[in-house]
This record gives sequence, C-alpha cells and structure tokens, in this order.
Amino acid sequence: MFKGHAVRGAIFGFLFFLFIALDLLFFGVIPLDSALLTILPLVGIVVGLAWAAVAPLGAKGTTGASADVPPPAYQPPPA
Amino acid sequence: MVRRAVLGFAVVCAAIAFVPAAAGAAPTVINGPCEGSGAFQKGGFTVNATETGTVEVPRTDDVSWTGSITGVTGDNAYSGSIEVELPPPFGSMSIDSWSGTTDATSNSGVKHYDIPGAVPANVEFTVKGSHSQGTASCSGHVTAKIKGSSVNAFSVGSVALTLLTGLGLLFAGRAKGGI
Repeated sequence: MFKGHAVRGAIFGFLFFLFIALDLLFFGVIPLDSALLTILPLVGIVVGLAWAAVAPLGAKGTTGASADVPPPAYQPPPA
Repeated sequence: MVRRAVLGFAVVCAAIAFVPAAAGAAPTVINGPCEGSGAFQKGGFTVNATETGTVEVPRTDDVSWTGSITGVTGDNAYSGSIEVELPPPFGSMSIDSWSGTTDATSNSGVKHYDIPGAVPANVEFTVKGSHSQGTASCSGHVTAKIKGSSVNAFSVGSVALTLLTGLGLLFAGRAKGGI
C-alpha cells in the first residue's frame, strides 16, 4: 500500500504542518486562538501518509530492468 | 477586600479598554454596565472600553487605570476572571480570578506590568474578562498583541524547523529500495 515510509511521512507531515502553523502565528498572520493551529498538523498527518503512499522520489523506472530481477546467467561463447 | 473587588472589575474594564487606534482588526466588545479606561505611560496613549481594534501594548509599561460599575448599591457579592483564549480544543487559560463582598462601585490606580521575553511579540491573542457584582454583570473581550518585530528567536527558529521537517517529509516520499 505504501511505496514510501508511512511512519516517517506521518511524523514529518505532522511536524512540518505544525511549524507552518507556528510560522503563520509568529508572523502575525493568524491569532493565537485560530483553529488552524490544531487543524494544520492533523492535515499534515494525512498529507504525509499520502506522500508516503505515492512516494514519487527514487521510484523505479517503468521501462528499465528491475533491480530485483537477477541478471541473465553467463554463458561462455562457443569455442 | 473592597479594594480587591473594585480592582477586580477595574482590571476587567481596563483589560477591555486596551484598545488600539489600529484599523481593520477585531473589535473590542463589552457587555454590561461597566466603564473603564487605561493610560499607557510609556506607550503614550489612552484607551477606553468603547473603542475598537487591536491593542498593541509595550512589553513593559505602567498603566493608569480607572473602572466603574453602575446599577448596584450596598454590599454585594462579586466574582470575576480574566482569561486568554487558546486554539480549539484547548479552551482558555486563566490569568486571574477574584471573589468576595464589597459596596464599592469604582476604583482607580496604577499598575506596572512586565511581559516576559519568552512571550513572542506581534502575535495576536484574545483576552476575555468578566465581572459580576450583585445583579450587575459585565463581560467583554479584546484582541491584543505585544509591540515588536515579527523577526525574533521564535519566528526564526520556527522557520528553521519548518525547513528541517520539510526535508524529512520530502525523504519520507522516497520509494523503499529506490535509488
């Protein structure tokens, strides 16, 4: 189901969106009693999980050979 | 005790009165038969409970405050509180509360305050207060912020941690076993 790292995605998604909310707070964009401060970190968990599910970074190419497939057996040339 | 009672509602009135000249911000709201005003000595401005806007207060100052309540006579029980509203679901944080019996209906004084440096500047917060005395009851709220630059240790640290955790999130999107 997850091509990437689900736990890392959830944790870092939570933290990333939490700090985005804090940035908005500290730069005076939203007030201290804004619901965004609690909603954004929860959104971050969902985004992090979705990001880990898609895992677009470092994905194996669809046209190249898979690293899991063993190379063809060596056959010596005919004498 | 009487002084504390009147001080209580005067603090509510004064807190409600911490209003700005700034436009476009949330209005100050006061409900009930209370009046109040506060003169910030370092800030060089005076506010009262009928103005609207966001209060920009210095980190430290002396405030000459006055407060009064109408519609009550004789000895009455009183109670009240001041709270700072937090984001849901955390509710609010109590700053002070009071209760007792008094026959006073007005008071004034000078209050020195010094907000710790750990409280970031330029962050809007809502202070709400209430005071009940006899049959009279007042409540109100005001939006306030500490005067100062948004660029401080809190905001810089938060931006740095945003970048770091963003990097962590980026790497969580690497396919397992991928390059």
